[in-house]
Amino acid sequence: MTDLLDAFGRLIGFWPLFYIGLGTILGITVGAIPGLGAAMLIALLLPLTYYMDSVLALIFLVSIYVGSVSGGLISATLLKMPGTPSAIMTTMDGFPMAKQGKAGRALSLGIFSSFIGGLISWVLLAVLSPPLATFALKFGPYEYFMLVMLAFLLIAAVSKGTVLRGLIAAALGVSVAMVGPDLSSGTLRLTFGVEPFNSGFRLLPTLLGVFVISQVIFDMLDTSAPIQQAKFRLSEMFLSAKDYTRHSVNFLRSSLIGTWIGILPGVGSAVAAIVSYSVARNTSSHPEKFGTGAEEGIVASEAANNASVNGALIPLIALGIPGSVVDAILIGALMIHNLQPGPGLFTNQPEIAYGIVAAALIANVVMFAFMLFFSGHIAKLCMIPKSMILPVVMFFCIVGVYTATGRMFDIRIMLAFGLAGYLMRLGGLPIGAFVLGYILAPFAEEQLRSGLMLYDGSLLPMFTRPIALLFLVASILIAFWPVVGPMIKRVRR
Amino acid sequence: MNKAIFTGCAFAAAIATVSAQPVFAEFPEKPIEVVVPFAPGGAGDIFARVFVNTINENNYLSQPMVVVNKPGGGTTIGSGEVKNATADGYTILQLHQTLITSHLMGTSKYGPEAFEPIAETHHVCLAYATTPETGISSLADIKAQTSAEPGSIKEATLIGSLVHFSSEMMNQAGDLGIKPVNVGGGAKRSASLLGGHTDTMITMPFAIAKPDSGFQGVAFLGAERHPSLPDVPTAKEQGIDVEACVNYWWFAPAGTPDEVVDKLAEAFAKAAADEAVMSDMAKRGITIEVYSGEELKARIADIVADYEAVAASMPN
Amino acid sequence: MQHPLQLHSILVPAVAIGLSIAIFLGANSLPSARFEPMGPAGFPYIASAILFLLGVLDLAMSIRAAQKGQPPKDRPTPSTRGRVRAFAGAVVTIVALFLMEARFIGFVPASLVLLVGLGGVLSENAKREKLWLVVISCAVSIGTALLLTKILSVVLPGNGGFF
Repeated sequence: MTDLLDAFGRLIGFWPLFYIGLGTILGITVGAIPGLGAAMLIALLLPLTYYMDSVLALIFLVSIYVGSVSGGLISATLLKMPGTPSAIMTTMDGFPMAKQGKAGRALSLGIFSSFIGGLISWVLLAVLSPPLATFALKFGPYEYFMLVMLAFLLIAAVSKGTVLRGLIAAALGVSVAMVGPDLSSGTLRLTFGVEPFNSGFRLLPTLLGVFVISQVIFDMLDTSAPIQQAKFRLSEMFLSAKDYTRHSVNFLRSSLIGTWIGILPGVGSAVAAIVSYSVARNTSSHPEKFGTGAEEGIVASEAANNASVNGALIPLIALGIPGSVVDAILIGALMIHNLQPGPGLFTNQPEIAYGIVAAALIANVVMFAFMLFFSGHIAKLCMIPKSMILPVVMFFCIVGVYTATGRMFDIRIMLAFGLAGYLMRLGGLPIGAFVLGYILAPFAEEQLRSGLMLYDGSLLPMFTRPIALLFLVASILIAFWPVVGPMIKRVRR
Repeated sequence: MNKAIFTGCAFAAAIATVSAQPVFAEFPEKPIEVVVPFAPGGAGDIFARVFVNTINENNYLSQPMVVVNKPGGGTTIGSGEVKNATADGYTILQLHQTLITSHLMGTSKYGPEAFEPIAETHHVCLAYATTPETGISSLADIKAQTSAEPGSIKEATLIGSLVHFSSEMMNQAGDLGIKPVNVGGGAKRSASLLGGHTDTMITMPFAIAKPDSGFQGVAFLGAERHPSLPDVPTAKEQGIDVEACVNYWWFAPAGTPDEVVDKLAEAFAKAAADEAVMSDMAKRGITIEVYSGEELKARIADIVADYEAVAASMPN
Repeated sequence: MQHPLQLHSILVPAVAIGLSIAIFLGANSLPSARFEPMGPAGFPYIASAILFLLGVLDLAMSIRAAQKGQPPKDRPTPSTRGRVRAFAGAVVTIVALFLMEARFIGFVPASLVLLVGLGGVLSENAKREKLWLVVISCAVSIGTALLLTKILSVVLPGNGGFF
């Protein structure tokens, strides 16, 4: 505990606060612009941090990460384009709310949920990192596989549209993810001889395509007027006490889901948001409101994605294992400065470990203050005519993809997925499900095959290992809750 | 108003053009792109940057070197690009034995023979590790356990990688009977061991050197004991004559002119002799040993032969 | 009364079924497992089977819904002006990307073609708007190019330079 307080003490100084502030604001900016993201920015800045003091470099990068996950909600709410994958689910209810003239309310819900999600997960990070990380270690391949099955079962009710279409969209996502080199054996799959497909469909072009470019296409076709925004004052931006009580369960549950998914390696904030949204919708008393401007949807998505950031820091600091792509880069930052990530970080280099923890909290506060005070100006963004926003968004998408992959071909892939995303939306195929399938399929396959090797070809441990069995039961419960829940209520009366 | 905007744009454009690089008469005349086929922050990436930064800071070459990360396809995207690049020395590759394993596993259609080796600057030999819970403290323990219960020792590895090949070298030479399980990269393998899912893994010495790492060394696959692991006997000491290391090479596309290759090799050799580089690498447990020219080609050929022998005895 | 099957009710399951067949064929040419019980072909076969099943189910349900006379969902159709805009936008984007990749022109001019072109397609003919468009386009493209090359050492597409 004293180590943590010492770390806070060390961060109260000009340079540390400067870097935290700069990082958070950069992160929010990059997160708000579709096409640019934290992973890209951090990867590009990594070589520069080589020359910086190690603690300053790390808190700078962590602040960018925290800021970006929150910044995504701005464009998600105002433009229906998620600025980062973590805000994918925020578009579902944030944008309809903004269209109804309640953009300020949507933004404030998002900002407060982000902050609270960050706070709750931070408590877990600061207090329970070692035991949580050690518990996460017990997850073997079949536990992860069952967890993914749980997520897939939740997909069915992710957004508007029939259960069947949701599953088809997920299956399409899985298929798209399989093109290219097989993770385990390196064999090229489903490329049908097209050479540029040999690297598969990468995350950024695919996600940007189906979410942002497809929306650009919609916006170009749509000749109606942009969102009309009623003026709002700062005082209206704060949540009332009634808001806190109404959403309390959602805040807590979403933060816990987000933290936990953040801890699991290779899963990330987008999945945290999707799962949290699905659970919120499945357990809500008004599931039909989701997708039309339900406050619960924004709360679930934004609390979870911010919670996943701190959640991902848990295995990073406690075990040296990255919880997400960005964390893998952060580990690189540690190694550049010759710091060995691993269980020994807390004992060997406590100022680094606790420095990161303390910085995560300060960044959360900076994010909250910045976004809240500037939300009025931010909301004015929706008044900018389409003729300026859409070209700039398109430009940044192209730049973002090119900077990430270095190939012009991936830009064409992005545009193709834009068209595909547009057609999918017309066909009633929920894009959130598609993305879930796309992100989780490689992970699920890897775990299944690894498990088969580990258990000599047997699938039995899926049902005999306690944690795996728990997920199986949980997924059945959650998937059938919309049917079981009302039945239980009727029995009670 | 229109005129002002036009002038502003033109002014900005002029500044941009003026800051472009001037032209010299001999190699290098423009910045050299160093392709690192891993994601930023990985071990290979960091070591590469140490050398590139030193070369740039001391101007060992008259033009800067720029590191470009091109991860993907298990390094084949990056290596493929350099293989097909113009053989003028402005695009070079940093890679290790993965170039060989990709070829042997069929992931890529080429191996080191498709490139002109510039230099080897550093290498690190691998360590064979386990956790205290497994009760394994030597290679003999492993042999005893697998003889009593075949297939009981599971190793977390990355199938098809140099880590897998290195382990197989030891497995076959000592007839140890270890079963490989595909887990993933270094961090995932560490997690698998710490969680008690697998028993052993191959890793770099610095990952297990610190006392709180949670791991203990079973054998070191180098010629002598590693300075950071004084209590870990080598495989040779335990009766298995195997050396498995990661050798970091710099390659140019095949057909690059000799003068260009020599100039680059010279720059790398100077960087390797730099005090700061030597102490940095020593702290990370990496050995600096420079090879180039014919000696390097022979060294690579030997390693390729070793790996081909392992591949020949792998299941089909 | 039987409502006609909507296009998307048939197209979506058709795509699903078609893709599942394509994946099945693609998986057939994959090597068998080498070090493990389930090889690279495993998941594609599973995915193909699931996609096929889902497609067939969806087709069945669509037919049933149409037979029951359920009214089709109301989808807004884009106006002609919208379609022209989108088409023009697509053309501008393709031209700009072609220019960016070409060796004879640099990043900034190609970006300007994209930004000003798209903006022009979308603008509502206000003079002020067009002015701001040009200013912002210049600022964004030059600013980004400078940032990428000077601070972040990224090699630009095309001829690698600004112009």
